[in-house]
Amino acid sequence: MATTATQLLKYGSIELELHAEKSAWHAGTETLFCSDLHWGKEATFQRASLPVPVQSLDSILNRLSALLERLRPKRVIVLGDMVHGTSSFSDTFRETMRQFWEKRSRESECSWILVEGNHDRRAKSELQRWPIRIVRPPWRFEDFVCVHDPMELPTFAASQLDFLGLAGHLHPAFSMPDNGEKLACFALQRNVLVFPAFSDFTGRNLIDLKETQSVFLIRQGEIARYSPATTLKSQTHASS
Amino acid sequence: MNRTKSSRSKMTSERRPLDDDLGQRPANSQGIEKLESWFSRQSWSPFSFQRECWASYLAGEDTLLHSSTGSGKTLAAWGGPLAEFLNDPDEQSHWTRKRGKPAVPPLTVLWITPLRSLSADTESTLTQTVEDLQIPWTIQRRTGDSSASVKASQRKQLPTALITTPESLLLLLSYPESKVNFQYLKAVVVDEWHELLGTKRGVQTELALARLNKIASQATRCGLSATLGNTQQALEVLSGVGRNRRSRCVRGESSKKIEIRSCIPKQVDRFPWAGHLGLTMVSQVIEAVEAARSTLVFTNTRNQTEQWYRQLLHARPDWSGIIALHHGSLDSEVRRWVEDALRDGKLKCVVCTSSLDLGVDYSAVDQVIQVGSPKGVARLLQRAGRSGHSPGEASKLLFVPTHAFELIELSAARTIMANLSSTVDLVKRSEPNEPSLISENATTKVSVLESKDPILNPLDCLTQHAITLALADAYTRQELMDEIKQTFAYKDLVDEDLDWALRYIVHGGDSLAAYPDFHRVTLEEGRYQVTNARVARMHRMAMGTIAGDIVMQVKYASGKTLGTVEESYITRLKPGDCFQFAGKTLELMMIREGAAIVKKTNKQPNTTPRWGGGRMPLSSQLAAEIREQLDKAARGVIQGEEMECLKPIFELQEKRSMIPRQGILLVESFRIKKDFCFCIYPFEGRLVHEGLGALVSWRFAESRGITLSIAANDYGFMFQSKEEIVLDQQEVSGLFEADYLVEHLLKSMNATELAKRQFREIARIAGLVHPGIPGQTKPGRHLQASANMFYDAFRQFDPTNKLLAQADRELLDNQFEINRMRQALERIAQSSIQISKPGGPTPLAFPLVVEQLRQRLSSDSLEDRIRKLQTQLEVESR
Repeated sequence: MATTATQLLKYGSIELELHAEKSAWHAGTETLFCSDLHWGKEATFQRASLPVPVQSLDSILNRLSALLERLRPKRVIVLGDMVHGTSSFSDTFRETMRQFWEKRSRESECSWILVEGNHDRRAKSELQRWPIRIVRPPWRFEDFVCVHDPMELPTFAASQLDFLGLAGHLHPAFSMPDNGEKLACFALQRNVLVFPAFSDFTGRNLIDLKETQSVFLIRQGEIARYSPATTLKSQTHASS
Repeated sequence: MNRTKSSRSKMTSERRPLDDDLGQRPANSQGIEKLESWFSRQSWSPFSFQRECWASYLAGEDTLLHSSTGSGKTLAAWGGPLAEFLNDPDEQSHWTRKRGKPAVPPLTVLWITPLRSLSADTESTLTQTVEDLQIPWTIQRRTGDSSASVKASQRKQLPTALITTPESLLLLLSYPESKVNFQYLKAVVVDEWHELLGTKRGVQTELALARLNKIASQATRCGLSATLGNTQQALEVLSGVGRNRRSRCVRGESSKKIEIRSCIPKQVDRFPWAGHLGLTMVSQVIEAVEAARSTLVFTNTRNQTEQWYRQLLHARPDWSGIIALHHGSLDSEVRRWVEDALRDGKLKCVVCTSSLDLGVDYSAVDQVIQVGSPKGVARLLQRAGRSGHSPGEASKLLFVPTHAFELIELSAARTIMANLSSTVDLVKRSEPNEPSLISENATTKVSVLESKDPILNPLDCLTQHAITLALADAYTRQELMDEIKQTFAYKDLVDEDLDWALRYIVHGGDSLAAYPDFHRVTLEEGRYQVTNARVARMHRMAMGTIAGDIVMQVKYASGKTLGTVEESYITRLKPGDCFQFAGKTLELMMIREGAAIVKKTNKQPNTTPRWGGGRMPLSSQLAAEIREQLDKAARGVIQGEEMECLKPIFELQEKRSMIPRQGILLVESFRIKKDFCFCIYPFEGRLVHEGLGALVSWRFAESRGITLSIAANDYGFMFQSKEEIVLDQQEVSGLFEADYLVEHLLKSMNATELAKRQFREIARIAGLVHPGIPGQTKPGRHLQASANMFYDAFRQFDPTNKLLAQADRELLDNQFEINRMRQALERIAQSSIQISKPGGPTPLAFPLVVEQLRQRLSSDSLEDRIRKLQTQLEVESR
């Protein structure tokens, strides 16, 4: 059985390539999107005497670096919750991040935009020291309206097909009806694409299927599209 | 170190020889005389086992009192300490002095009970005796339900007798003042020891006992238990290692007559379905309830309890108010009300789960109805014993099968019980003089009772306890090792595991670099200690909860609590879904702050909570006897009304295929529509069959690249494929090859998911995740993480973490019952394989076909699975 690592999402004239790495690529603008990185969560946990290995941060950074090297984006847009909180800024974490940004600036010209999320707000003073631009949601970019929490989307976009909302925050997941396995997913809900959390060390929340046209399920390097029952008819119509 | 100046004979060098007549009370015992005269004032006469327990206590021995039914255990354990006090009430050591005046005697008896609900009844029994005998003792409870003010005052001064749970006891022991408060302890009673044995809570109890032994080495231990297949071992675990104290098993009175009959269905389905709730039998059950004074209806799951309650009320609306339901998920207040009403004889009938298996006996109850297979003989006996407590009355049990094959299970249980009653005499004669005789001469017979195997070396409990002790006082590695090794669970603890546990609590894990900011326990000058107040608070908060599934409260919007439901169930519901709970039909409105908010509704329930527990597998003893009964049926020997009733089914099974016989492994091969199905019947219980299913499925995928769907029940399992499968005898036996069993099992796709589930409990005990404790503040949201997340992170980045290995081991032991599985494979290897081609499902196969539709364990790729679901949906939406 062939497995696929990317899926193409078409929304009106907009095309987005969704990755099994839990990121998305907009070829037209050479932009990489991702959400809910929760950098430094391991440090926060360790501080509370919960043993989360530092390698969980390394793996996020490595996955991201690999994407950056492969795609060479002009910009990276993070849809909020780049860091876990103020308590994440331990000495070890600061050092890891210093090295990360140093390496990034050596390797390519790429601008970083963070759409501020609830976790970022607490650590704003720390974030301002990084080479990133912090914007407040909702933030318009080309055909997209970028937010962290889908609730932050302005209502004007709701009726317009040529805008696609991009959001994070929810850490969407889908429970497989056959064995109950909970898989992270992209969820297309009306005109909003909700991103899965890029970090693996996060909780997952089951999505409300009534609101959802399509989910893109992710499991071990594989991404697959699934359309829940309620919208099945319109979906088969649209794809034909 | 002995601070007490007790007059107990164990303090003297002279010990009573073992072959004494132990039923006789020791001479010159004023206390025993006073106790005996109290008994006669109640117009009772002490049972000989009670006298034996008192004598054993006064002789300074550890005791395990066990009986399959019957009562009087509480007074057997309680009488010893009372008699000791009465022997010499003015003895100085009994009193603590406050400004020269004698105050309340210090903590003397500790009563550990696994169930909070039991503690109230124990308290009232104990209180009554001390009041009658005018003993100036205080008796209090301390459980998770106790109020904050009670807890605070108990930290300063404990009562003379404290009734508590293992969790609350450990919490008390985590405070430095425990050293003072427990120092005069004389007796530790562990009630319902069989419920704790073989569980993590049992290990926690062992650890608490070891600590108590360090504080008060003079205290003896007394366990109260149901009779088990390994009673002697149960005593050993209780008594611990290296305490140099004599111990004794005492058998309780079980002369009570037990009458068991079956509710024979009027029409036996030719194809018995699995999972029927037995509701077709409602009218027969109503008749039986009508005829009795007060009835307990036991079911195996909370789901069944809810359904039966609803059906009974539906059929007899006039019973509203005099029938009730009781299960572990209901709010404690509701449960208490039911228990009180039952005691007062106000209820005609209570539908319940194992929640009423334990505890005080209700004298009004004169009948027990068991719905569905009890899965084991011990449980059947225990449940039967819940009825008929008036003098001279027999215990009466009516068995209601939920599908026809369960009648075989009852028939098998009856046979075992018949063998058992002849064994009891044998055991009685050989005890206590030559206890070794039992194990040698009567093994085969005694083993018909189920055993509970103690858990060995669980590292989650060890790390938890190492922190608990570090809260109470700083300790060295050697001190910890010496203390821990006194428990049966850790008697063979290796240095490597202890050192890992210590590194884990100090550094977070093995690789120091992985956890630079971790500080839980500090190590200074070779001593381990908790110095961080937040760590202390979080640990105490977490350790108070009982190991088990994560639960969520069910509440009305007004805030009134109805009970709890497993989180895994409730999160699968959508707002608007209706379900049956606490005897009411409820609609889920929302999930808010860790609670499910519901409202009452008149709509039909579309789902009933499926709780995790209750799906116990058939015990291996019962399973063996079922194989024997079937073998007899195959040879035309049909005994008893149950088997008689099943005759048409046997005939059909034999006609279409064959009745499974001893020494033969039956494999049935047939097709359902386009699917190729194979049913195999090892009769080893559901867990073993699920394991065998996973194993066979994996081996198939490896050798032929064919994916299978698996279904399993207590009798066998079925695998199914779209592709054609032809199997000969040799290939079948190849699938059941015992080599590489563990490796293949763990590789099978399901293992990861199951190990994750197993890891949930481990993560909680090891303090990785905080449970949702109703009414208690959780740590901040930014610290919430699920056990799954830790599992994945450790697997990926800290694979040598020993908690992972423990999850695998527990998965093999608990989920697949690996030892039983090995035995099953051995048996299969010695059997001849018979492949029959019935042309369609046989009576034995049918429950499996139904099961197959319900649950699917598949090893397809993600895309395949989605395609299947999509096709299914398309068909449905047409």
